[in-house]
Amino acid sequence: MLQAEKPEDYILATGETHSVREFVEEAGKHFDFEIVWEGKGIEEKGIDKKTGKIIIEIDPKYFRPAEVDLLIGDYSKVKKDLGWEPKTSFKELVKIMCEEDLKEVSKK
Amino acid sequence: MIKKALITGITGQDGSYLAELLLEKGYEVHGIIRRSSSFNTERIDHLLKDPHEKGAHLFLHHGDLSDSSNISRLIEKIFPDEIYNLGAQSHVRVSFDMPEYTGDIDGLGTLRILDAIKDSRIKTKFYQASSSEMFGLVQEVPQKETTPFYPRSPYGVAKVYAYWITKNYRESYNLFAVNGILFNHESPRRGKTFVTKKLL
Repeated sequence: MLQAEKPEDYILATGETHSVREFVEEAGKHFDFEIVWEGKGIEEKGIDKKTGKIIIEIDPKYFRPAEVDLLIGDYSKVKKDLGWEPKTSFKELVKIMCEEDLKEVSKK
Repeated sequence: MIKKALITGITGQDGSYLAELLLEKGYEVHGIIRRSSSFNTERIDHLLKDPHEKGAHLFLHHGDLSDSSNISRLIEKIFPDEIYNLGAQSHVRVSFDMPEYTGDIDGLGTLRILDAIKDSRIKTKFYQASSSEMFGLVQEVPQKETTPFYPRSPYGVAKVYAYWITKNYRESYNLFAVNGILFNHESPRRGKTFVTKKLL
């Protein structure tokens, strides 16, 4: 953007939106979990189907006083003007992050 | 002539990737770091060399977005071609606990840099890290550059101020100052208090 001819504001996004739930399910695959969801509301828990172990639950400590809505960015202006577009898919990103974390854990 | 870049927030997720990219492109990169009694440069340690050694292209300076004279001094000393303002109190939940600090650093901090650029008369380009949090309670889906903002946190509100002051200084003083409105972006270098790293 700083190498562009004119100074302009741009949105940089993927045009996609993904929930925490999707992230957990996708990440679970890399750690050999198959996550199933049980319970409702803040009692909902993500459980590993094979072992029955609770893998994830909700801590209201992290709730915000006001929440944001459905954030999805339209990147067509930057694509048209500067040719930018996202390169890494959601699944690839989860894979990259999981693999790095596995490396970290095995180092310790 | 080697291009020089100044990055605030160089120790963060985005700053460390940007530093890598600019070094690869042959820039001389300067970063501002806050003084802390504990180490906070782990994301850029692999890029650092002894600054006295020949061939060092990455230089760190102590500074803070709350300190106008420090920012002015650094800009006048470094004489950067490009400034990237990625420094912020970047945590949305924490901004509810520290709304004034978040406003000071994320909002007024941006103004301090723009004022320093304007007063120095250095022809430097300015990039502001704007945020999808500015859209908050979204007014349309998907969000475009023309979508009205409706921030839902002190962080979002501060970023809206930073967005407009960047645009205002561009229009008022003819600065090359731009906003990149980034939506959530994750990586292995995401801070451990952010949701994706918490989940893992």
